[in-house]
Amino acid sequence: MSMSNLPSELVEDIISRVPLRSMRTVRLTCKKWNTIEKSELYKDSHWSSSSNKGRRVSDDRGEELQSLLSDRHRRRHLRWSIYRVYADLTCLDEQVKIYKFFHCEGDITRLVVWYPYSGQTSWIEPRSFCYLRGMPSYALGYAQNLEVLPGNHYFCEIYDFDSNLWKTLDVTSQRWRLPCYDRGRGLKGNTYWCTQNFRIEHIIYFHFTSERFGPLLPLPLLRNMTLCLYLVLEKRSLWFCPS
Amino acid sequence: MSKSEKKIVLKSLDNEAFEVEKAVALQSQTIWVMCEDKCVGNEIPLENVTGQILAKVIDYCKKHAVVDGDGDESSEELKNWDTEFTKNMDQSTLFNMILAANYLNIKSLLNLTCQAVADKTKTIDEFHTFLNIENNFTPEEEAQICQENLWAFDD
Repeated sequence: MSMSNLPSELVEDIISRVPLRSMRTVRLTCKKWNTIEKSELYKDSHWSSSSNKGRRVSDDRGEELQSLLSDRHRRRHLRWSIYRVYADLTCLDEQVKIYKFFHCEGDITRLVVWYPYSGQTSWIEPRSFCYLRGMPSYALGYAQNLEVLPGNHYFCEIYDFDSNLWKTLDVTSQRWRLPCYDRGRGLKGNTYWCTQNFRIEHIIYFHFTSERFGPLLPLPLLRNMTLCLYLVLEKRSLWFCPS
Repeated sequence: MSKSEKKIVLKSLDNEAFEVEKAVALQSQTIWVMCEDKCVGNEIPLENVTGQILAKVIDYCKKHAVVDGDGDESSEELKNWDTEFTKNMDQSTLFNMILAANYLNIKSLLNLTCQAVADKTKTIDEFHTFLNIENNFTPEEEAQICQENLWAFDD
């Protein structure tokens, strides 16, 4: 009697229970498992099955995450996040242990951080006055600690995962604005955005160690073009491309 | 209801008969449907489960039926019992239990046994030996997958 005697749906069920941190092991076990692990079915079941049983959601608010999953719309949203996990984490180095946050139904009520290594989640309450000043955008980077930075047109704040506190940054004198809904692109713990200063496109980045924005990096003048920011991680270089 | 109607006889593949309380047996959705449809008498033949495995399944169902009925055991105790229950099972027994739980449609037992297999396999070698699977990768393919999954290095 071995694993290969089991019907494939039961094999998938078992693999979906293996902690995410052991995914490399699973994929290396044999060719068939490598395929199962890559399949969409698996990714979907990994999230839904684990959350439904409250296995990976081990904090005291696990139930709320489960109830999120019962809603179809939100389910799609979560599933999308999971796909991104694979794409993002494959590229980044292993220091990055926190990866994503997501919004609930347009209004941000809370942020959840998922630690793929331990499978745990923790929740961050955004400051209430966020709502008064339009939709914030969020970015994630790391210094020694991991931090999340929500910014919007008028102010920036940092959340420190060690102290669990929000800190306000003084950006009132800046002329540039971070784009709404844009989480930027992460590279080596910093986060980069495209921004405009006196109608000229620039790249701005936030340095999480010093908790400062770097200098504006000007881009060639491109009329009637929308800029997309791409980061090529293997070469450790920064690219932009008009779309 | 007479006393005999409360009992039900489960007959294994190798013709071993087990007399159990109906409440115990009805945790199996498969048996529940059979009883509901009145397509069986008081004796239910289970053609996919051996006596040895069926005995264990019944142990599990008895434990869980008692708790559900009386509520005198905490869920913590039940959890510990579940852990002990699967702890010393060898892989062959575990897989047979998974198949039995799947066939009998006992969701909580299927969860428990699948989780037990997942928990018992942590390294690649364990996967190969415990799950009785052959490694069919070439060294080049192995290196490529390691590269793709750098973030998932185990400690």
